[in-house]
Amino acid sequence: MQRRKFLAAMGSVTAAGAAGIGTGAFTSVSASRSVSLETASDNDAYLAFTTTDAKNSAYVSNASSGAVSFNLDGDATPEGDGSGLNRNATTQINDIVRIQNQGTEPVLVYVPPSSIDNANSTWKGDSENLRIDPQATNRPHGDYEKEATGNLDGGVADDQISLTGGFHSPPYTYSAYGENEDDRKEEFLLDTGEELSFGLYVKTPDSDKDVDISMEIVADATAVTDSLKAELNSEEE
Amino acid sequence: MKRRTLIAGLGSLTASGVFAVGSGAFTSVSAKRTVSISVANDSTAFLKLNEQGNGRRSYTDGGTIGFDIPGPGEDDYGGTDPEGLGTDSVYRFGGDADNAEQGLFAAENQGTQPVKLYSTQAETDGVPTVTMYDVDTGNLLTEESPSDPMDVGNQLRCGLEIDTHGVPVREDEYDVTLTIHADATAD
Repeated sequence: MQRRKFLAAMGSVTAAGAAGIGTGAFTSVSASRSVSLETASDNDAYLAFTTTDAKNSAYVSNASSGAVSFNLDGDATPEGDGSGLNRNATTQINDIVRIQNQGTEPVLVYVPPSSIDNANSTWKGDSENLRIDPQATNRPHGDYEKEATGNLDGGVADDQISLTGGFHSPPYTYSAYGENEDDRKEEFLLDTGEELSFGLYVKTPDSDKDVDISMEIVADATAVTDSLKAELNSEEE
Repeated sequence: MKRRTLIAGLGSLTASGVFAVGSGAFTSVSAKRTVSISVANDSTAFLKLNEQGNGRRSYTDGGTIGFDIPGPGEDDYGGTDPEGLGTDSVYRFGGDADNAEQGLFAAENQGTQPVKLYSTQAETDGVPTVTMYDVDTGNLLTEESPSDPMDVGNQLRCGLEIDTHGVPVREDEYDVTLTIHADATAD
């Protein structure tokens, strides 16, 4: 899946080049050029998922061999023999992996709510279903602090935010996270080389469930405003 | 060697990228990842909750533990058959009716970080107040004063303190929802 996306991104670079340069006197040119590509396991990729420093990496596998998978089930490897989440409970596991920006530009990291099956929304989902929200802690930027309310706005860590923006789309427009656009986006910001902790917030029904839920984790450089970039540059100086 | 060539290749691609689109090594990445989740019974979950003793003051039904006070099996032990708790009183139940084991239930940390245990009760108006306590120390476990950090693999034997002050005597039983919390300790 990741490989496909990457190829698609390359494709668009080529297309833009053609539009910009191919406007001369000829009708058509077809020139073969080579593009070398390599895919990397998640811990070495441009958008890296690393487990070395993460406290709860017992709940993730495959970081060094391919695409990570999150195991809140019998494949988890905590020290005890726990094999799943408690029924009728709210479980928050922070710092399962670190998400690191190994690219050359600042990015916003988030999870589009539409990439998670709506029935599993922690905010709007049906209580008979399992409900999930990806969340971030140990964030390098932003000043959001939870209110001690016990609901999703208030996680167990002070700087915990919802990577879906509480199922707002796009997540970085969620008004609780700041007064203006930059304020809100800053919460999701990773400069080159920076990382945040990725975690999961899950509400379970009082019944047996065994499910796989997929979500897309996005790192987007185009959403970083010029004023945020300027702010980052001034911090470095 | 192959890796080197590759890095060079990407470098040139970046250069043209900057020219055409004004972007760096990647403009956007979307990575689809999967979370596999099992919902487990209390006896096998990351927070393991096991009923203790006999007499059915504590029980496991449909995968979750629950409590019935007095227990339906009270008269099998000691030959008494109490109807309920007295009003305007504070009771502690540190074991089931058979008194064979310490604790009405045991909570074990099967996760990855040390946790502090405590209980809360959302609805207290006109119903008995129920609070977990540590049967070894007798300490009530509340949000303000939770248990000491409990390491992975350790368990705590717990009882319930029930306060019936201001709660009228009635024929129907009271249903109370107790929330058991295990919060990882900040480091």
